[in-house]
Amino acid sequence: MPFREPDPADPNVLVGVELPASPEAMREMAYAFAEEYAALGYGEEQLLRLFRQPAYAGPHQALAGLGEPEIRRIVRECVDVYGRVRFVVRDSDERIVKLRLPARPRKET
Amino acid sequence: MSTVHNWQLGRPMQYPYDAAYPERQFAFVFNINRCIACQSCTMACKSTWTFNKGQEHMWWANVETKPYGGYPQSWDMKILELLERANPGGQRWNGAGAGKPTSPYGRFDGKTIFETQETLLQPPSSRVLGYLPDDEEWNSPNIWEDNPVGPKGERNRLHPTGEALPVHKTWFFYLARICNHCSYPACLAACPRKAIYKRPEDGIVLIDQEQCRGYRKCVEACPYKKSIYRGNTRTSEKCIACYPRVEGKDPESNGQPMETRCMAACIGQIRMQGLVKLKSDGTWAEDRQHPLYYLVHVAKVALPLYPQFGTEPNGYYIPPRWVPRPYLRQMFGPGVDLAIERYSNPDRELLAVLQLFRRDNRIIYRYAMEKGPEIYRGKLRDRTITLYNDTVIAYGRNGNELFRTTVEEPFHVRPDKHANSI
Repeated sequence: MPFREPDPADPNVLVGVELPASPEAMREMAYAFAEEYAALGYGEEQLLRLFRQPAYAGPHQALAGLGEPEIRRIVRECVDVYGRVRFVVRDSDERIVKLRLPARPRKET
Repeated sequence: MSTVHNWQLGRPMQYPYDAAYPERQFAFVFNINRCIACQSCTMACKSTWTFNKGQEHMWWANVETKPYGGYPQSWDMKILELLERANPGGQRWNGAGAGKPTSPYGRFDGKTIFETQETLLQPPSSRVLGYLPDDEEWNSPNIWEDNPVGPKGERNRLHPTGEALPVHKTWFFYLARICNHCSYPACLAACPRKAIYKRPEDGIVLIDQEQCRGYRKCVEACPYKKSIYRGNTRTSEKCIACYPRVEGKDPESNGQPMETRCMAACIGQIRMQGLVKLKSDGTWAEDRQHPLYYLVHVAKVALPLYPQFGTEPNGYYIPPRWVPRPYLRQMFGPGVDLAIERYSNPDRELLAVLQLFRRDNRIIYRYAMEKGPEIYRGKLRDRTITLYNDTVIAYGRNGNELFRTTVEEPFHVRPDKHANSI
């Protein structure tokens, strides 16, 4: 079949847009999610569940692209750093708030 | 046209009205590195404000997959193309004056959406460069994105691997968006009935539903496409920044200003919202211990979304570090390289401020740090990570403490069967 270079001026030619991409972008994304969530306190299993969940297409695509052993290695590397500490949040006393909702009118019988 | 100063562009700019600035400005920072597009924010907003008849297509808060997603479809590419046609080859930044409070990102030499009248792209009556998306573009907020669907014919079931749709095998990230409550709103500039106003107390931009007649000039003008027409009321509607919560009228808040519903629902803890002090010239007043001031003007890790549009948006983003820089520079301006460098190698204070995200639903007005000892130093991918047992304290509107975050090293209890194994 003869091949012609596509003519971008031809309205019938499907023009694709080339995206610059580094082969390491997927790994970098996986590291970003793993680091961020490890810093939030996620452990290894919790983080792996995030990557396995297909509804979270970003982490899941990293798992599909890099494979579970590599994702597990990335997760372990990040948990090894951030899992050493646990962030604790202490509310001030004012945080205990009593809800004051209007009383519901009683139905007359 | 009046001349106003746009500090994000580092230069004076044409705007249809005289400059007027609120006492405090509603602003927010989203950390894209953490967003996994769970859409909790989207649904929190939807279930609070836009669940009525006639609002089916209306998503005041949305999360879209970049670079190929968008709601409405291709909104950013379309407005960028219009600007390029209005000023071919001229949409450029130069580094002049970069780093100053009045021009932190340098100077934008191109044209904003308010400065293209002479190119006659639109009728002379148009004050703002824009376009009106058609119904198809509004209908499917996440069309062609990587959202898994269920097998055909089976309800309430996800595809087990999420690959029912074509998978884009390239880099991508999730961009969460709400109205930016801009300092120079294009919607306000375009409204022929002056039905849109910016509140002097908090800078929230609202559409007066009594005044609106649904001409859709705001829909056409808003470059972020966050003003949306509602067919059954024949008016336009937009994000109201959950203003009853920001005013402290939510019963849960005990009178304290609260963050919006989309912020509060964020499970990835990517969001922080606040009210920043402005100077009389519209630039941010120095407020060193305000977390948003710190992220935008001190650490400089949070950048405005498409500042070149010229509306001075008040939504700021910590850019995703895995995405090619040219794309990010187009989206967030020339501050991207510094922002990613600093975010990837955070200093002690940045690590502390990042711990304030989503720890409370009440708005933080000030933070303080009590320094503690170093508890870990090690390498992660050739970067040195140092963790400190610092305490970060958040304060509310009245100077009262809201909460404090600290670090605990985990302790391990030896199980009974190994109790005497030493």
